[in-house]
Amino acid sequence: MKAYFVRAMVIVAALALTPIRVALAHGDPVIAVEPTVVAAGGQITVNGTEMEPGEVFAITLEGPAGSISLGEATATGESEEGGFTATFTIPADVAPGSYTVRAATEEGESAQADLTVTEPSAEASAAPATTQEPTGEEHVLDRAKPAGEIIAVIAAALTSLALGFWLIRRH
Amino acid sequence: MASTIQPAPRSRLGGWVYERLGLQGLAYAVPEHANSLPYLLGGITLTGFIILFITGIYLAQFYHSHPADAHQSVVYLITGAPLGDMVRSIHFWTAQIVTVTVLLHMLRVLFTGAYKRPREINWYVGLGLLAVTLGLVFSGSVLKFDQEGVEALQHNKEAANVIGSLGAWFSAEFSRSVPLLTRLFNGHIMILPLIFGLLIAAHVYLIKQHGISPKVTPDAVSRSTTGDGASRFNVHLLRMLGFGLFVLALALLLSLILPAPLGQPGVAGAEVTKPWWMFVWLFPAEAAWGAQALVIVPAILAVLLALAPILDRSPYMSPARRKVLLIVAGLILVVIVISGVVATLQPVAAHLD
Repeated sequence: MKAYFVRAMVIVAALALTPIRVALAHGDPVIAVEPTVVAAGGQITVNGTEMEPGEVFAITLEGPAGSISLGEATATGESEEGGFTATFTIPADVAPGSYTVRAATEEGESAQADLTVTEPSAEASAAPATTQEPTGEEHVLDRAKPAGEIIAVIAAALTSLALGFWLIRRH
Repeated sequence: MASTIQPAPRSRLGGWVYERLGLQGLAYAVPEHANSLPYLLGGITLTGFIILFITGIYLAQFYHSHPADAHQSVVYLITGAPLGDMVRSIHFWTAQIVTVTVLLHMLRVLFTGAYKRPREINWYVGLGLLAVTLGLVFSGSVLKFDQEGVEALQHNKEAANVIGSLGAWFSAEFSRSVPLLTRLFNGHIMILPLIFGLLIAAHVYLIKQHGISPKVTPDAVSRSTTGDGASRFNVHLLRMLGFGLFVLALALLLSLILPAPLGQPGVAGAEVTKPWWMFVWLFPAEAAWGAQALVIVPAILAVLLALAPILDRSPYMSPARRKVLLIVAGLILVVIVISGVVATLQPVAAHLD
C-alpha cells in the first residue's frame, strides 16, 4: 500500500514538473506568431515547426482587404524536425482588425496563425473611448442615463440601504 | 450561553420554508464579537462576490472575447445593451469594493492573530482566495481591451516569460486556435470562479469546524470556539447580508456618479497608462528591476504571508504580544502604500522590452 502511494506521488510530481508543451502530429507544418496582438508598423516573430529542412515559405498577411506579402523564411534543421524563426514588419498602413498570417510553399504546404493588428503605437492614448458619428466626427461616449434609470437606481440604492439597516439591527 | 433554538416564523409559508430547509440548523451559537464589522469583512466580501457573479452573467451575454472585437463589444455594452452601462459599472465598482474588503479582512486576520492554531490551513485557503480575487480583478481589467487592458496584458506576458515554462499558458504556442484574450475570458468566467467556489467552500467549512477566532484580549489564546458564544449564526448571517446590501447601495450610487471607465481601443507595444490601484504599487519595483519584479515582489510577499503561522507560533493573539511580526508587517504595508503613491504621482514610464 505504501509503495503504491509512493509510486502515485512520484507520478503526480513528475506530471506537475513536466513543462507544458503542445503535442503535435508530424507532417503538417505549423506556425506560431508572437505577439498575437501587434501595432501596425510593429514586428512579429513567426516560429515555424514540423517542416522539411530547405523548404522555402512565403509569409503573407491575409485580411479583408486581401493578402500582403511579409517576406520569406527557409526551414533549417535535420530530417522532419526542421523549422524557422523569422521576424517580419507589419506595414504601418494596415488597418486595425483580425488577420491571418500564412506560411505557404510553392508545393502547396501551408500553415496559418491568427494575428490582431491595432492602430500604430504612435496612436496610443489614455483618453476615454470615443464613438464616430455618421459624419465622421469623434466624440466621447455618452454616459448620461435617462431620468427613469437614474430614479430607479437611486430607489434601488435607498432600498438596499434601508433593507441593510433593517437586517443589521434585527436580532 | 445563548439558546440555540430559533423561534419558528409566524406565517404558514415561513414555517413551511423554515422546516423544509432545516433553517433551525443555522441557529447555532457564535461569539458576540463575530457580529462586529471587522469580523464581518469576509462575509461582506462574499456578498460582494454574489453581486459580481450576477452582474458578470449579464455582461457575458454581450461581451466578445476576440481581441479584434472585444473593445467594440464593450462600447456596445455601454451604448446599446439594455442597462449595460449600469450593470458594467456595478460590476466594476463592486470589484473595487471587494478588493478593499478582502485586503482589510486579511489585515484583520493578521492583526488579531486569527491564523494561529487550529486555523493555519484556513489562513492558506484565505491566501488562495486573495490570489484568486486579484486574478479575477486583473483578468477583468484586461478583458475590456482598451489601452490600459492591452498594456496590462503585455506586462503579464513579460512576467510569464520570467517564470519560463510555468508561464506557458500565456504564450501563443499554448493554444494556436484560441487567442490569449479568449482564454483569459474563459479563466475569468470559468476557471477562477471554479477555484474560488472550491476555496470558499473550504474556507466556510473550516470556519464552521473551528468557530470564529476568539476575541482579542491581552491574555486571549487561539483556540476553537465551536459551540461558544452569546449570539447565533443566523444573526451573523443577517448582518453579513445587511452589510452586503450596503455594498450594493454603494456600488449603485458610484455607478451613477462615476461610470466604469473605458479607454481608447488598445494599441500594442505602447505604454501610456497606469494599472489599477491594486497593481500600481509594483511600478517602482518594475522600473528598478524590470519585468522580473512583477513576479519576484508578489512571490516574496506571498511567502512572507505564508510564513506568518510558522514563525508566529505562540498561542497569544494580542497584538501587544506579537510586536515584531506586526511591526514588520506594518513596515511592508507602509512601503507598499508609499510605492503606490509614488507610482500614481510619477509620469507614465515605459517598462516593456
